[in-house]
Amino acid sequence: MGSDFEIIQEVLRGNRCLYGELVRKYQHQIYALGFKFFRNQEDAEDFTQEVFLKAYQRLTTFRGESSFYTWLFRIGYFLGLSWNRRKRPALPIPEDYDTPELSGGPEQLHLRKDAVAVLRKALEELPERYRICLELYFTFGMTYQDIANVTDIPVGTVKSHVFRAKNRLKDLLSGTVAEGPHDM
Amino acid sequence: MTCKDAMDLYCYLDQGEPLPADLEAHLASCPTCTQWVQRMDSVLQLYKRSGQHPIPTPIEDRILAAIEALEATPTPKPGLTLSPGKWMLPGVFLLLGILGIPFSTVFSVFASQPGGNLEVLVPVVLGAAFTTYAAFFTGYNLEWLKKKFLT
Repeated sequence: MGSDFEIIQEVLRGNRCLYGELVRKYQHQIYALGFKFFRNQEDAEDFTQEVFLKAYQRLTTFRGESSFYTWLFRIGYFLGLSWNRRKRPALPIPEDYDTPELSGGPEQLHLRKDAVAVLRKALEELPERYRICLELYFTFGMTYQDIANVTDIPVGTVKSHVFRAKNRLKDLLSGTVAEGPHDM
Repeated sequence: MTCKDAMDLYCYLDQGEPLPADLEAHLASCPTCTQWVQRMDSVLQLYKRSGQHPIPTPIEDRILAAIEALEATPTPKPGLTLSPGKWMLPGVFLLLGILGIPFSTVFSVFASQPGGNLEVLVPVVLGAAFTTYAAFFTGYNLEWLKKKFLT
């Protein structure tokens, strides 16, 4: 099958099963977004189902102006915020939260683990809507403009939050390399 | 460009944005910043990887079943969904209007029209309007009225 937009047109023509293709394609990302909101499997699964259901119900309103991925994330972002308001605050992140296997010397490993922890802490200090907005950047690799489209947060605000988080990393990492002014 | 400028500029870059020429030139001549950029990238990659949570059990069947169930459920007919409070508001205006008739000259323009003796007709028409309103109000808010007055 072709692009997401073509699949959607087919689904709207009544070929409902094709929607499964879109679910297969994006379920992991939406689940990961749910995990960012709720930090537990059960809620993240319910969230994933709800996002895809809502998207299906609103499929006629998708005009292809943005990618389906961005559109889906927009539904997920607002659903996550409203569920969190109604249900419960997200659990705090455990210290050893899912750090993937690392390679490199012990010093490097330690540094990188520290840096990830610093970034995570910087995100944790933010209100939920901004925290998720930074997750969209750092975890899901979205551009500033895409994040603004998903969250309705102005691009400038997104940029400055990302910059501040990167700056904290910069401070940590720049202490580890031989520094000195270097004029061109 | 100083190292600090270079690092700041690097931090401002968007996803996949190409390096500006001056930054590229700085990195080409500054091993410190090159090393810093590599570390920064590797930390960001690491963070990205730590956030990947593949769904434990594929959810596709569950979603398609939910969609099927959703479509099998008959859609309820859209009804009037005004709250009882909002329903009462026009009733109050209607009643006030009827009570205000003796003090108003607004209907006197009809007096000169054929059949213009409105002394009986106006109260009858407005009485009928209020009765109709009351009937609709009762019909649409039966459950609420039962709860309010019968329990």
